[in-house]
Amino acid sequence: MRVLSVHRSAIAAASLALVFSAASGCGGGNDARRHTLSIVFVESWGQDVNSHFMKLATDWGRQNNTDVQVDVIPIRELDLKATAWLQAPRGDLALLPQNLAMVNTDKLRDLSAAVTKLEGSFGGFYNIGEQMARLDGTWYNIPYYAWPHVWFYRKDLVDAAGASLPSTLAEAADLAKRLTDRKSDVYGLGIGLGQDEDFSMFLQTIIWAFGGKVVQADGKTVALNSPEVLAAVNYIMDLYRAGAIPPGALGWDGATNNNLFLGKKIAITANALSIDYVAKRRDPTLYQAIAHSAYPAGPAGRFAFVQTFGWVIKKNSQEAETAERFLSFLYDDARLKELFRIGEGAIAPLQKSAGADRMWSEGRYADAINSVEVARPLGWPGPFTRAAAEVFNRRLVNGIFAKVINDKEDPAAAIAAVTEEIRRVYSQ
Amino acid sequence: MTTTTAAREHQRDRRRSLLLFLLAPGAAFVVAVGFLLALAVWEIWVEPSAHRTSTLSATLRDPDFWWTLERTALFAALVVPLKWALALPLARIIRTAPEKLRWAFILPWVIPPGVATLAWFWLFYDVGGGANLVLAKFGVESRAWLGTPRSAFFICAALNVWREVPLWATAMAPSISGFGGPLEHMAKLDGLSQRERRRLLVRPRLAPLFWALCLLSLIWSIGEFETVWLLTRGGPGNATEFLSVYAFRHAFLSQILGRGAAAYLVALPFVAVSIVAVLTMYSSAVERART
Amino acid sequence: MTLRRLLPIALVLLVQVAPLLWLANTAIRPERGILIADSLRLDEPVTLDNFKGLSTTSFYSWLVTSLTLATFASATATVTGHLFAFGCLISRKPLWRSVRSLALAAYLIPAMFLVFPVQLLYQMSGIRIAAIALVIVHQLFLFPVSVWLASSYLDRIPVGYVSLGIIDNLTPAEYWSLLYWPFAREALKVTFAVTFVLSYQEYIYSFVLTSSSSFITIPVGMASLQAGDVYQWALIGAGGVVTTIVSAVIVATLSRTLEKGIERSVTANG
Repeated sequence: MRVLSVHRSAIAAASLALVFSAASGCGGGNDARRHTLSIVFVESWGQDVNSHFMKLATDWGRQNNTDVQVDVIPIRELDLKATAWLQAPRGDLALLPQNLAMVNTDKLRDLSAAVTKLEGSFGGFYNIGEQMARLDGTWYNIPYYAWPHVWFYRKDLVDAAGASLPSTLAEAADLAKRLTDRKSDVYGLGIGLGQDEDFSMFLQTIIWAFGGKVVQADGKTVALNSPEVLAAVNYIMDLYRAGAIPPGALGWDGATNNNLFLGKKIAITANALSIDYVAKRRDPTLYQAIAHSAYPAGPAGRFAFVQTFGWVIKKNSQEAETAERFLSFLYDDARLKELFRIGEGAIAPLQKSAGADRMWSEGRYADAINSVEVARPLGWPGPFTRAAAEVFNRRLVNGIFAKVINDKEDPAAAIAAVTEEIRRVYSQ
Repeated sequence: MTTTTAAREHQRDRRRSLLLFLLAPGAAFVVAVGFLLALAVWEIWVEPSAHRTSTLSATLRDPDFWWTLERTALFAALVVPLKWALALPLARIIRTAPEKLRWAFILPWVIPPGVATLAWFWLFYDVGGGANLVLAKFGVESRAWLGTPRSAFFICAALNVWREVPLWATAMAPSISGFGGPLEHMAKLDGLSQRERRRLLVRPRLAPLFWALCLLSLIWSIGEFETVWLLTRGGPGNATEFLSVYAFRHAFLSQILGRGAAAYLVALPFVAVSIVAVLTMYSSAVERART
Repeated sequence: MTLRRLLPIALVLLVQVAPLLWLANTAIRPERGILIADSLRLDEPVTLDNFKGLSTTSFYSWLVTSLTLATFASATATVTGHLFAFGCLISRKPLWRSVRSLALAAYLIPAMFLVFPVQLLYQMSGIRIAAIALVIVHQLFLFPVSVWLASSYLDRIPVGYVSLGIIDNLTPAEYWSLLYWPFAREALKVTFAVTFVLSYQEYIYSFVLTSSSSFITIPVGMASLQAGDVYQWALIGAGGVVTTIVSAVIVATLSRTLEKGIERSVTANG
């Protein structure tokens, strides 16, 4: 009897141990199979964000019996690597620009159910994130963060000119001309006029601010050729011809305005908070002299467009459930807020509760989150569509300035020509 | 079977095995390239999804493509004669240079193009670049070197020439030797003028070399990507958007990889005609040099 | 050496290095957080701090990666190209001459055309080791060059020798020692040198195919020294100078061989 009771105890203990080990795993799956999850992450210029994310992913993988392989895409190779990942037959989870991801939704998993599960934990998404995550009512990406876009000013030059920060585009143009000092080789407004992403965001915002649009509210009728868009183009060309914008701006890339602002060659620019990040570390004196504002208002009001990023899962991924579990981990409210605090404004949340964090209530961060709050999706006032994304990705609207400056075309004719190009995209 | 026959069979098998071993890499290479070409054609014809028109017709109907082709042809037509004009005197200088110094002449070609391009980019940066600072020293107003279409185009061409002229000159240097030797001496004895000596001795010897270098330069110019991409990204506007940049941009920004391959496919007839023309000139130059 | 001979040499060398001088000047001046130069800075003190700063980036691993990749890729191309060229020679069948011509013609296909199917194939293959993929992909442009150079030397082997070799029933080892080696000794050096340089410089395949941050080559890595959305000119300058010095060492070491290779590659088989 005693032997039997010992055996029974042993069996009970073993069973308990088995049940306990099966239940443990910090929210991991029930199966003991080792998973492999490949993740593509976009490099942030807030370098601490990159290392923090790597740590998050590695720790989660360790706790969840998963080999996590993270590939970090350098910012300069974003288009190339994002496209390569989307076109490839393999891959699990990626953080991609929403405008790039949504051109290839046939390769992406429907994430509607995942979004429904997650949304409750952070009070929903800002409008731009939500609009650019869905096509025909289906969620194809889960909005994660945005690169906020604000105006930067050399406060010392503004004060020396006896001026104040502008609240309208007209005031901004006037200030830019006043701050231009060719003798000191300082230009008033430093914004590229070519294919760079800063100008793409700037131009989209200016067009809306003047009451213009690329496409009508029906999302199909191209409406670029309008007096409002002409006014927006003329606003920028007026600054260029007045010498407030450097003559080589047509050839700039996304880093040139950063370099010139940090090198004290331009007094005003529009950019993400990467300028602050570098100035704080390399030139503290300049950092103290930087002022910010949201985009000044145009005749039609105040608008913004920001580059947004969302998580996508490949349709044929063998680890879709693993990926969704990882996303549940990432989208924990506290975890999100911690990530954005570490980012120091390099990235701004697309989740409302994270955006309500105290960090975003003051100074440069308030302007940054404001740009996300008021941002409109591509295709506005119509719905966000694949065609709207393609037009933006190919920088077709930017091409107006190449025609005006390089080819000496009349702005109205340049707008008409670009309108035809955009019509071809929408007609496909 | 007799011993001799068996031995002969064994020798034949051994030779066959040896040949198989030796020829396998080449066969595998040709099959691999053929497969890649077939895959490229598949990407062009099959890959686009239902809501897009075919990549080939999109390329054919794109006016920017034809401007790009013209621009690429202009670029090739500019850089090749420039290289020729500069390579010959450089080749003479290389011939006279001390042997220990000769390596320095091909350095621009050996430095990775990406690194060389960054050097040119920083030199011609429109605000604070070296070129403008030198101008400022002489009281001259700075220029938007890479922001003005014409200067950006010529800087791309200058970079291409700067990199490849040393290669041309190094290739030509041995061929221009001997012009001061016995043949030249006999030509002088025969009373030939310098122009006649150049026409009868120098040109026939250099002509095959010239056309061979032309062919290489043509291929490299058409495929020129990294220097242009890093220097101007095809800008300002599309002033330096050559075929490779056009293909790359359309493939990765339109996210239709087939668009990139389609650009080359449409350009193929024009490129093929140019290559055949150069090869024909090369063959006849070789014939003339032999006779 | 007279001044008359020295002056043009000096002028030419100056023109050749001139575009690099501004980068070199930036590399040896204090970085002081400046991202734009406002003067030629010739009166500033010379410093080597920027070169030390390179060790905070992955520059030196990019350099090792480039040199290692170039070594393996060029060794592979040299061996396979020579094997094939020799095989075409002793086979004497017109079919293999045609295959050789096709292999050479592959060099005419621009890399930007092949990069699209290569990229697709790379993704489909599931090869995670970028190094292996790149060594294989580099053969697309190195193999034809290797075959071309090998043929330019091996085609000098008299046809009669090959016939005698068949009659005498040479063993593979004898083919190697009696037919191949006497003509190919120099060819191997030349082929390796030329293919090494071409592989070392290669950009587009490395740019498109490498997704792992642990396998980046110098040309790709240097372009990524733009961090925080700014160009770090001091670091880029230092990296440029180191790369130029390494290139100079390569070319000085291989100079005679490279010259022969370059000359052969444009005059051979004509």
